[in-house]
Amino acid sequence: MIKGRHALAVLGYMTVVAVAQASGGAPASLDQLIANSDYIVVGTIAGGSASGVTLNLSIAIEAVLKGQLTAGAIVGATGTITEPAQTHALALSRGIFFLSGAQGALLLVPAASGYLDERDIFVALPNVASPPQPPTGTLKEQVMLEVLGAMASGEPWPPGGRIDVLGEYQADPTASERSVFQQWMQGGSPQLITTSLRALLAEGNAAALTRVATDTSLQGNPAASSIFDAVKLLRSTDAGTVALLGQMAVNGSSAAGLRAAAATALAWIHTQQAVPYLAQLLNDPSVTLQAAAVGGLAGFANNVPVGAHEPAAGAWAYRTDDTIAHSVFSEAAITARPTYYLSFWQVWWQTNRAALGY
Amino acid sequence: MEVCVTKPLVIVFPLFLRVCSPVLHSQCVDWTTTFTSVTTATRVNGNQVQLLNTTTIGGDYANRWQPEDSITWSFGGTAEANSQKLDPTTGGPWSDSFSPTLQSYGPGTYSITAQNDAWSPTCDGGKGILLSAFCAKYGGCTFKLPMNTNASITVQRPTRPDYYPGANHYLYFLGGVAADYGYSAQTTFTPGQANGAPENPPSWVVSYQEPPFSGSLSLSCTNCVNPNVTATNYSLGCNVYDVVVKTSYNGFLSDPFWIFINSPWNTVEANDPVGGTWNYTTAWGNGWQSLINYTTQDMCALTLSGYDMNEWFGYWNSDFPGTSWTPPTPGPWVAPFTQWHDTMNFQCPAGNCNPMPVNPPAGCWPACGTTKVQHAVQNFYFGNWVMGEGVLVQQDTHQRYLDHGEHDSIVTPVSPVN
Repeated sequence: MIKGRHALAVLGYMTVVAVAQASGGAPASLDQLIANSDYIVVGTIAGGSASGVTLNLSIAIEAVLKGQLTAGAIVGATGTITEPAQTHALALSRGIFFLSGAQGALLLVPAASGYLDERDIFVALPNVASPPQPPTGTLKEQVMLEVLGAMASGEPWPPGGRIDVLGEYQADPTASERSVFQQWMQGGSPQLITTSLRALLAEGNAAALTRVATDTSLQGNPAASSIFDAVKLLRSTDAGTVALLGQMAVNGSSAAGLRAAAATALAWIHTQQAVPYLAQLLNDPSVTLQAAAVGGLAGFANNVPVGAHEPAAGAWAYRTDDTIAHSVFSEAAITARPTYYLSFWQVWWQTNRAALGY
Repeated sequence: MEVCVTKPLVIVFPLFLRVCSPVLHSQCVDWTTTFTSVTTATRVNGNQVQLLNTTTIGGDYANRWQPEDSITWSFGGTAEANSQKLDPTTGGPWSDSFSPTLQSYGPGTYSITAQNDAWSPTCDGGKGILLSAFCAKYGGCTFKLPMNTNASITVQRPTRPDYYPGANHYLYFLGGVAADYGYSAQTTFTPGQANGAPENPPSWVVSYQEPPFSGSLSLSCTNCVNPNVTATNYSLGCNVYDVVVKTSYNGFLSDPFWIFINSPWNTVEANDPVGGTWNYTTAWGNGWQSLINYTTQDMCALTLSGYDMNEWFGYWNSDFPGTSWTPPTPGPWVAPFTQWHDTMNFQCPAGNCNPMPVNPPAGCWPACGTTKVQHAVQNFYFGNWVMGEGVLVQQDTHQRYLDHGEHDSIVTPVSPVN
C-alpha cells in the first residue's frame, strides 16, 4: 500500500526536468576493476561532455599502469551514468581511469557500484601529479601505491570515485603498502596517522597497538573513534598483545572509548591469559565493559575458538550447561538481566580462578 | 520313591521291559553332566544395551535340574537392580536379562554380574537341593558352583553433529534471503561419531529455548544423513545459544551442537574517505550532492564486509509550498568491503524547479542551510538486490534541503523480522 502511494507520488512529481538520485553506492573493488579493464591509466580529463546518460571524454594520459597506451597521448572514451543529465561540459578532473574495449572505442569501467554520476566513473586524484612511481609488485599494488602517494601528497582531494584503501589492504596486504603505512604512523599528518593505525591494527600490528596505548594525543584525534574501532579488530593471542590490551581495558584513567575497544578485543581473544582482566571488568560500572567481560568469560568457559562464535566440539573442563546458558555478548542483554549474567560470572570466576592459576 | 526308565531289550524280537529301581543320589549327576553359564553385554540398538545371562545344564540328568541365577546390573559401578530367578523348566538354556535405556542413564559402563546354580526338587531324597550343595555333598561334579560370571560394555555418547565439511560454517538470518556474498542463511549438517550406535542415518532433533529466545532453523529432513539447514530467525543476542541440534540414535541423543544465529543488525556512521565527515556535502551542477557514509554491523557489533544493499522510500511529504522536486529513485548497490554511502543530490535546469536548488559551500555539513524542501521515510535493507527486501537495518527520514541532504531521526537497529 505504501509502495503504491509512493508510485503515485512519483508520477505527480515527474513534471520537470531535474536530476535527482538517492541510491547508495560504494567503491568498486580493485580486483574487479582490474579484471574488467584492458587499460588502466593515470590522467586528466582534457575535455568532454555529458548528455543524457552518456559521457564522451578525452583523457590526457600521464602514466600507463596496464595496456598498450602511451604516456602523453590523448585517448577518447565513453561512459554511462545512472540518471540522464542536461548536456554540459565535464570538469577537467585528474584521476585513475579504468578502460575496456579496443582503442578508438574505449569504455569507462565505473569505479563505483550503485548510483553513478560523472564523478563516479573514475577514481579521483588530487590535481597535482604525484612523483612517478616505479612499477612495483602486482597491478593492484601499483594502483594502491598510486592512491597512497596521492593521499600522502596532502593536496586537496576532489569529490569523485574512490578506492576503499583500508578494505583493499585488509583483503590483500602487501609489504610495500605496509611500509607506507609504517612511515605514516611514524610521521604523517593526523589523517595519515589515523589511516595507518587503522590499517596496521587490523592486521594485529603490535607497534600500532603500543602507539595507541602510549600516545595520549591520539585520544584527542577527531578520528579517534575509528582508531578505537580498529583496536576492536585485534585477534592476536600473542602474550604481549593480550597483556597490553588487558592493561588498556582495566586502566580507569584511559579514554572510555579506548577501554571499550581494548576490552572488546580482549573478549574476542579470550585466552586464559585474558581471563583475569575480563573478570576484573565484571565490576566496572560501564555496561560496555561488563558486556565484554561476560562475552569474553563465556567464550573462554565454553571453548569458543578465537574468531568464532560457537563452542568447539569435544570436551572442555570449564564448559557446563550453566556456562552455555549464561553466554551472551550484548550490552542490551546485560542491561536487561544484570544479576543473571554478572552474578553468575562473578561466582564462576571465584570458583575457577585457582584452577586457572590466578 | 522310584524312578522308572523304559529301555529297549533286544533279543530276537523287540521286547520292552519296564525296569524299576530306587533313586540313588549319585544318579542326579554323572560324568556327562555339564553346567555352563554365559554372560554378555551387548548393544541392542542405539539406545539400549542388553545385559544377558544364559545357563545351560547338559548330560544324562539335565532334566533333574532347574537353572537358577541371581543377576545384578550396574551403571558406573553402582548397582541399579538385581533379580533372582528360577527356571520353571529343567535343563535350559535359560536366560535372564536387563535392558537399560541409554538415554535414561547416559554414557558410561553398563555391567552385569551373575551367580549361577540349579535347583532340583527331586534329588537328595526328594528334599530338594541346590546343585552346588549337591556337588559339595556328594562330589562327582566336573564344574564348580555357584558359578560367577560377569560382563560389561562401555557406551560413549555419540559426538555432536557439525557443519558438513566444505559447507557454510556459520548461519546468518537474512530476512528470507538464502545467501549474499559471504553471508548465508543455509548450510548442511553432518552427524558426529555414532560411537557404536547402529542406526544410520540417525534422526535429527532441534530444540529451542522459550521466548524471548528467538533463534530458529528448519531442516530439509529429520531422518537423513546430511540435512540442508536454513536459519529462519536470529538468536536473542550475540553468542546466545538458543538453538541446540542433536542426533538421535533410537532415542539416545548425541552431544549438543550449540548454535548461534547471527544477523545483519545495525548501521554505524562512517567518515567519508574524501571529505572526512559522515555527511560530505558538495556542489553538484547548480545544486548539491550529499554522501552519507555508513558501515553495517551484525548482532555482535562486528563490521560486515562484502554485501548487497538496497533502499525503499515511503510517501513523499512536501516541506516547501508548491515544491516540484522530483523524488529520488531508489536503487541497489554492492559494498565490496565495509563502507557504503547513500548519495543524495539534486540539480535542475534554471527556472524549471520550485524551489531552485542552491550550491552549498564544499563540506558545509553540519552547518548547511536550513530550508527544507521535502522528506520521506527511507529504509535500508541488507543482503538483497530487490528493493525493500532483505534485512532492514536502518530507518530514517530522508530529508532534502535547498542546499544539501540529511538522514534524520535514524532508527538502527530496526527489528529485522519481516
